[in-house]
Amino acid sequence: MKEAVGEIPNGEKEFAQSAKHARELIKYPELTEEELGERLRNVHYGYSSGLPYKTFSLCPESRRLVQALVWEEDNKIWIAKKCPEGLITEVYYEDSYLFKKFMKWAYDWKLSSYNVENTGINCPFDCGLCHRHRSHTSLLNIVLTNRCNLSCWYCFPGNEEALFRFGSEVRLAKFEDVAKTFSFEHKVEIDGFKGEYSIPNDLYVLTFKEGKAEWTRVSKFLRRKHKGKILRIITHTGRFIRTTPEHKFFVYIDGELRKRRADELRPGDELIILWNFDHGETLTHIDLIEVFKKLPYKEKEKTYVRGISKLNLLKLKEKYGEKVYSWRNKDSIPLSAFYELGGNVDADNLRFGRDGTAYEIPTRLEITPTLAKLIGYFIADGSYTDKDLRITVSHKDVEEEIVKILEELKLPYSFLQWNGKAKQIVIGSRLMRLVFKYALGVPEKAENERLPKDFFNFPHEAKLSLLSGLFNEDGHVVRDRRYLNMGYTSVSRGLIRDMLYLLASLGIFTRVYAVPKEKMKGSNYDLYKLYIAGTDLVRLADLLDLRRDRKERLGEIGDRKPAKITRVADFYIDTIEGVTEENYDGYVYDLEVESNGHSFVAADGILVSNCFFYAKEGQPIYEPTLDQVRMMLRNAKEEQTIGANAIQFTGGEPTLRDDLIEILKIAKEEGYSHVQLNTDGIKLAFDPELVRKIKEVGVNTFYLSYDGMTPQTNWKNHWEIPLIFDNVRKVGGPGIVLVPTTIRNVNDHELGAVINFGLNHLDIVRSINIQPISMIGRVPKKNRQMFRITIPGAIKKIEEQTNGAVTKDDWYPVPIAGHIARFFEAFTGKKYYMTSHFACGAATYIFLDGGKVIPITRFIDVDGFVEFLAKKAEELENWKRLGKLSKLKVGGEIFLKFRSFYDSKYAPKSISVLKLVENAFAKGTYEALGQFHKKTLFIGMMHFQDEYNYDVQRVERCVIHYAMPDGRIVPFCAFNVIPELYRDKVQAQFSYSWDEWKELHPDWDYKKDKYFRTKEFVEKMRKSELYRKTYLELKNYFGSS
Amino acid sequence: MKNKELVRLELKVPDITPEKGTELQHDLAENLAVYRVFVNGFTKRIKIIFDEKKMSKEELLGALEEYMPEVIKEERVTLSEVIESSMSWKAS
Repeated sequence: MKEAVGEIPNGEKEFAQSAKHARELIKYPELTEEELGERLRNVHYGYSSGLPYKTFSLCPESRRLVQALVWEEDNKIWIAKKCPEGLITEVYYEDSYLFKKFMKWAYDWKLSSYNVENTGINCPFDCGLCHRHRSHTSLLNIVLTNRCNLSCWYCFPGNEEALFRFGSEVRLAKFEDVAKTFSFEHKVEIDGFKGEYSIPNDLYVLTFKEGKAEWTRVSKFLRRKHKGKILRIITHTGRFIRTTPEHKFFVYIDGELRKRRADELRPGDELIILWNFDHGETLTHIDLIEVFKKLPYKEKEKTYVRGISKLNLLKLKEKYGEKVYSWRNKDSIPLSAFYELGGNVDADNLRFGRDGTAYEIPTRLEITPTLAKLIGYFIADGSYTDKDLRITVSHKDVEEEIVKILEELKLPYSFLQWNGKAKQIVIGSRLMRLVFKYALGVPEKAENERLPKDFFNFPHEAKLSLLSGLFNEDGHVVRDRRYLNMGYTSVSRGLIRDMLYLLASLGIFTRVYAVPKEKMKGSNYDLYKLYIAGTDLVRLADLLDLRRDRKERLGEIGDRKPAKITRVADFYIDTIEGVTEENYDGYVYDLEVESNGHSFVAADGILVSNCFFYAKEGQPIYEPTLDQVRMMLRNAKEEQTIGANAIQFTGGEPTLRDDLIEILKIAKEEGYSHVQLNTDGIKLAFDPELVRKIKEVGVNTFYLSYDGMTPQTNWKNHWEIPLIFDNVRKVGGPGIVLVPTTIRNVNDHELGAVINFGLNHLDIVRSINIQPISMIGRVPKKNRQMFRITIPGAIKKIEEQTNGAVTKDDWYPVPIAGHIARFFEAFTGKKYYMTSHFACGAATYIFLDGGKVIPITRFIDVDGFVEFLAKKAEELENWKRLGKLSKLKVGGEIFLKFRSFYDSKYAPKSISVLKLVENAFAKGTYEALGQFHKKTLFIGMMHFQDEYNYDVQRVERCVIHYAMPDGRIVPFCAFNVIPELYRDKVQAQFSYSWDEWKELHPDWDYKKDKYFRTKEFVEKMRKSELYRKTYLELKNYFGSS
Repeated sequence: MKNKELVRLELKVPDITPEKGTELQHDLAENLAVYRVFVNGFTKRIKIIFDEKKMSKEELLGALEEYMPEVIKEERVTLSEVIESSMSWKAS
């Protein structure tokens, strides 16, 4: 079993393990754009006339609002829309029977106070509560902090590389070189690591998008100090990457991409590698005036700009005196002085020259195939001297071709041959030496060889010529009866990496072999052999202009087979050969990228995870002040015609606030009857005094994350739950609502067990509130098929897992409460409205009678009773004002009538349900309702929306709202699903910068926020009596039928 | 923070359509400089409250250029006034 022990929990490992075996996939219906358009034209807006109907929905990527169709097919309800990004179909409700049953109880209502003057015509882009909204605030949410307990980040050593795009220029660059362009002005502390980052303006990397290699913007460039181990991961096809042990990679398992830490990778694991991508070809010229600015000063003094007759040199006279006239007369000025002229210079007629030579080159160097081929020859077997370039020629054909190139380029050359040594061609031009070294960036020495730094941007033909030069000079052909391949050998691994990418940009797959220096007598360097075979060789031979003897050696290539690799569009799957360790001391780097895939390509094209999950740590901190909290509470409380009466404080993790108790007191002062804390409970587990204070201040419930029964499904607090329960029991409250966020194929098999768990702890657990997953962000269809579950889907699982003890007929939608509340309002004169869209939530009550579970529907005719109440409410409303006595009389009548809807034969024997109901009806108060709750287990469901199933009609009827410090109150599914307009934006407007925060809280230590779950703690809990009683001594109330 | 000075503009945008209005609503609301915005593509009016230090009036008008914007009202408000105007007991 995979679980996070000995680290700060984050759930990724557990999720990967849980999602390993998909038991079910939802099959989506086929719908064409034409069919969708046709159906949309022929249906009404809104559900009032039944299915099918149209609504408005949100597009996940373009964020546009479009019409959507809601229809029934295959006993399910679907929603489909045509977005700019394509046609999107999503399951809306997995059971059309329940959808229709719940629709019957739809209950609409209107607000009469608003906090924006907007009309709602752009709903949901123009929230707060507006004239279009149809529900009041049943549960108000206030975010107390965006701090939380999750964190982690990973890194690459500084001399590791990635393929970057700087604006439009594509370049392989070392992280440490890119880092030089940043000031790392933002500080960050994650997992106790101190680091820093900058936000690049125009930097991109390649990411994996449904198999395609696409550019994504780098939103953060991070670094931190690292001293210790780093890992070198080597693959079967010869790729490698160096990384810190924590960094996560994408591993291909059972047709899925799963993330795995570098130190968990093993030989045989399959990584995702780039083999093909679109590239820029924008560099037709190099502006030598610009790039020569970086020349050493001595070189600038010896290099001349010629053709300067039209330049005004007078501004140099003060510094250089009469020399200026001499330069004018000679039509030539030293480059060092030329740069002092500043401003924009018309370079059209300018040329470069050198001391004592008449040879000149233009100031704009054209990247031609001829020049590129010369560069290829030079990289393969060339060298620099102080004054020239030399290429050792290995073959007559090569010599002839280089000479031909030099003559075409009009470059001076000569030959040099020492006894017993290979012949060298000397390119006697200091200027070309500068061009190769500084403008093209071709390094010195064989072991450092690289392609020109901008080779990706060369025109296509120039790239091919560059490769032709390389293969002609230093390539080889291996041919025997079975094999035919073309290879290239170098001691420079950097050059091999460049060639891998260059060949990949041409769609050619390449393998690499390394020969360790120890296996080669007298060698100082490892040797790297790159080779191309099969259909890739056919393509390469077709593209390159190979020398005669190479062609002869290749001979008739004939039909070849494709490489034996599994390709996934632009990527392929490669197995790990080995993982080795090395020591490192210095900066390590990471990127945060915008792409929702949260991945990028690094080193030899290996797909790695970026630091997305936790990158928001270190960003501005949002924590509303006490005054702001009071204002937000009061704003919702004063809503007309009904103020909010229930408040949930949430986060981040709200218990991280030191002034939490003060905030809770404010909620009570502002008149909220129900105060709830949405928490992971970690602090509650280890701070019993905090639990006591929270109880004393009057908090009613902990809305406690509880995703399953095992450490794997409930990675957040499985080990801490026994302590939380114990602390709550010791002080007698607050009540606990267990909240499983339910994901198909991950934890949906444990819903019955969670309810059983709640029943076993009924003394403190008031409710189970199931939240089917809301898939925020861009989610591929395949993942939605695998993970999506809706309310009926969860209800079905519960029926199966409780052996029919709780069936689908036991559930009712939230707005049924609106009908009951209408009666109470008429009866008591108080406002109780409680409604929502019928598809948002569902609920039931179950009673425990001895060892038997009895849902409320088994002994109360809910439909009949609510219909009766609705009728009575109508009567009461017509009577207008009733005296106290008359009301008591009606109450008594209702209670007597209630008995006719009540079947005592099936009712629980150990609890007087009638008395509970009588009490609730007689008093009609929140406290009376609370007593009812203490004797039963309430099972609720609330399915928050996401971009895929978004229905604006549901947003209009939302009852769970967020108060924002800017004075607006907005629906949950606007606040969280459109964070760029609400949650993230407003928190950014009202947050503290990292530095401001630290100045205000000088004693604050980031590490204290973080929860580190130790192995010792887990072992201690595993052996404890408390753990045994909490999890292992459970009675099974749903034993097999 | 509460005394942050903001600009409230009302504009006519004769060349806007309801569909474009909804798109513009999203795009303007996304801007961190904007505290309130309401684009009405039917009446062809925009009401917007924004921080001029983060987005100048010229920038805003530039972004609206294709809709032929005309400022019909301009006033200064503070952030606290904006918040206060959104209280439930104020707006009805």
